[in-house]
Amino acid sequence: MPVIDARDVYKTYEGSGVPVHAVNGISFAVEKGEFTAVIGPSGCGKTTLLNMVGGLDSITKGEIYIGGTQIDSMSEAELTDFRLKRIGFVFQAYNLIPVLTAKENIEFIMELQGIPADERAVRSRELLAEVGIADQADKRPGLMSGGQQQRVAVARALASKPEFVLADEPTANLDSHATSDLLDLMAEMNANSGVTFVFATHDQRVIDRARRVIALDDGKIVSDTNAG
Amino acid sequence: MLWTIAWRNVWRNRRRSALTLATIVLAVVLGLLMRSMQYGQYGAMIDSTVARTGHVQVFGEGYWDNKSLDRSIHASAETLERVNSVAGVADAVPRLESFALISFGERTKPSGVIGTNPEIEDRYTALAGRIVEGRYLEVGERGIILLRSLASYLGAGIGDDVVLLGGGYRGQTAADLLPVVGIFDYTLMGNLETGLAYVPLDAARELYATPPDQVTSLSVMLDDGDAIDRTAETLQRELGNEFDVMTWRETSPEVVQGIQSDSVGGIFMLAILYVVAGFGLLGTVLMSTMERRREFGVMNAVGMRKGRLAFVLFMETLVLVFVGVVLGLIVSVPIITWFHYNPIPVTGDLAAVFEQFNVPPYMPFSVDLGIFLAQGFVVLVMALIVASFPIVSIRRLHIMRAITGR
Repeated sequence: MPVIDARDVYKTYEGSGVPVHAVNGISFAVEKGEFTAVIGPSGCGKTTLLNMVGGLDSITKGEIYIGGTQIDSMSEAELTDFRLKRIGFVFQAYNLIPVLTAKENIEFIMELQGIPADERAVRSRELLAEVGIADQADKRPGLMSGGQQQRVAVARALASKPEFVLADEPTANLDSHATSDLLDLMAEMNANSGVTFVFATHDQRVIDRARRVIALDDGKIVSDTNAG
Repeated sequence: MLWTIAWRNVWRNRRRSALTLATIVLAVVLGLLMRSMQYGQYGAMIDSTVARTGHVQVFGEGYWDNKSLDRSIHASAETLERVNSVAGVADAVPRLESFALISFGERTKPSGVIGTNPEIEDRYTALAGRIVEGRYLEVGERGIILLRSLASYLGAGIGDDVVLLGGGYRGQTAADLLPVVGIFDYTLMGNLETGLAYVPLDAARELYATPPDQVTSLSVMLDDGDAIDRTAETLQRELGNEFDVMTWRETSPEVVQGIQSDSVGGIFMLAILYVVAGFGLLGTVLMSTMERRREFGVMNAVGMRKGRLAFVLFMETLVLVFVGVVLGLIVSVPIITWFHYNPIPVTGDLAAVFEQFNVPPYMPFSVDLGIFLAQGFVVLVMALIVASFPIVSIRRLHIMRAITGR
C-alpha cells in the first residue's frame, strides 16, 4: 500500500471570477522509503500539491489517501489529529516555536500526542543527537543558526514517528554548507531508518540527491523519473 | 508545556507587557482605594446610625407611623428576656421618647425628650463622651442633660431647673421640673432643627406618666451586623404581632439612599477606569495575536488543535491579568490597611458636616474582603471579554493563509 496515493486531484481558485487551476488533475503515489522531489517553476503548483497531501489545504476535486486512509473528507479536527500522528512537516522558514528550546520544540509534538514526560525526554535527546545538535538542546531558536534550526525542525518532524515527512523548500534559507549537511542528514535517515521524504523544491542540490523527481508545470505532472 | 508557552509568550515583548501590567496595576490600585474609602465611609455612617437606632428596633404595633406614647410597649423583664434570648442579640437599649416644651425663665423650645438607661445608652452611643459641661446622667436620678444649642437658647446652665410640659400617656399632662446636670454636644440626623434632651428612664416615665416598664422602643444591638434581616425575622416571630420589628434600613432610609446614590457614582468611575485598562489589555492581546499568526498556523499544521491554541492565548491573557491583580494587591493592601488603622483626618467645613451627621471626622478605609473579591470579579470579567477576541481569531485561522502571511 502506498504511503501517499493522490487520485485525480484538482485545486481551483476563483480569482476575479476567472477560475485558476493550481493543481489540475494530478495522480501519483509514493511508496514507503522513497526520497522524492517535486519540482517545477514558481507557481507550478508544487507547494499547493504538498499542502493538500499534508492535509493543510482542501482539495477541489479528487481523492487523497495516506496509508490507505482517505483524508480529503476529514473534518478540520480529524485532520489536525491525523497530521499530528502520521505526517511530519519541515518548512522553508524553520517555523520553530520561538519561546521553546530546541528540546522543548521536539517534546512539544510528543506532548500533543500524549507521550509521557520521561519517554519524551529520552526520545528528544536521541533525536537531537541524531540530527547532530545535542549540544544545542537548551537553546531557543533565536540563538541558533539557520542550519541548526532546520535540523531541529527535522527532528521535530520525526518526533511523532510519522509515515512520511513533507519538506517545503527546506533549503531555501540555508547557505550551501548548511544545505549540504541537511541533505546528508535526511539522506542518511532515509537510507538507515527508511524515513520517507517528499520535498517541494527548485534547489538543484536537492534535486540531485533525490531518487525520484516529479516535475510539474501549470498544475500538471510533466515528468516522473526515478534516478535509480 | 502549554502553561510554559503561555507564560513565556507574556514576557516575549517585555516592554509591552510591562506597560499593560502597569495599566492593570494602576486600575486595580485606584479601584481598590476608591471603593475601600467609599465603603469605609459607608461603614462609619452605618455605625453611627446603628449606634442611635440599634441594628433592629422593636416598637409597639403601628408606632412608627404614629409616634404616640399611647402606642408604647410594656417592656417587662419577661419581654426583655424574650428579646435577649434570641440568638445573635447582644443587648437592648430601652428608650421612652416623646416631645415636650422645655422652658427656662422667659424662653421655651419644643424638644425631643428621650428617657434612657444611661449606662446602656453610653455603651452604644458614647453619649457621656459628648458632655461638654457638667456631668453625664446617673441611673435612677432626677436630672436632665440638654443639647448645647438648646441650653444656649434657653440660657440654662448647670444646676438650673428647667420646666418640661407636654402631652403624656393616654391624654395625661406631662409636666415636671428637672435640674440640668449636664450639657452635651451631639446632633442626631432628623433632629437638627429641634432641641434635644436626655433624662433617665424612670424620670421619663414619671414625666410622661406612663406605667412602669413602659418604653417606646427597644434598640436591639446584634453580635453580627450582617445577620440583621435574619435576626429581625426571628424577633418578630418571637414577639408576635403586637410588636413591630424594624431594621435600621427601614427606620433610616435616608442613610440607605445616600449610600446607594454615592455608590452608583463610584461604580461609574470604576467602569471608566476598567474600560481604559481593558482597552490597554485588548491592544496588547490583539497585537500579540496578529503578529503571531504564522506561528499559530505552524502549531496548527504540526497537530495542535485550535482549541488548545485558543487555550494558550486565553492563558496568556489570564496570566497578564493575574500578575497585574497580584501586583495591584501587593501595592494597595498595605496602603488600605494603613489607612484602615490610621484614618485620614478631615478638617474644616467638611469636618463640621461630618460632626453634624454624628459621623467621626475621619476617612476610614474598609478592609472588607468583599471589596477585594468584587474587584477581582470585575477584572476577571474584563479578562474574559478581552480573551474572547484572540479565541475568535484562532477559530477563524486558516492554516495556509497564516503560514504564508496572506
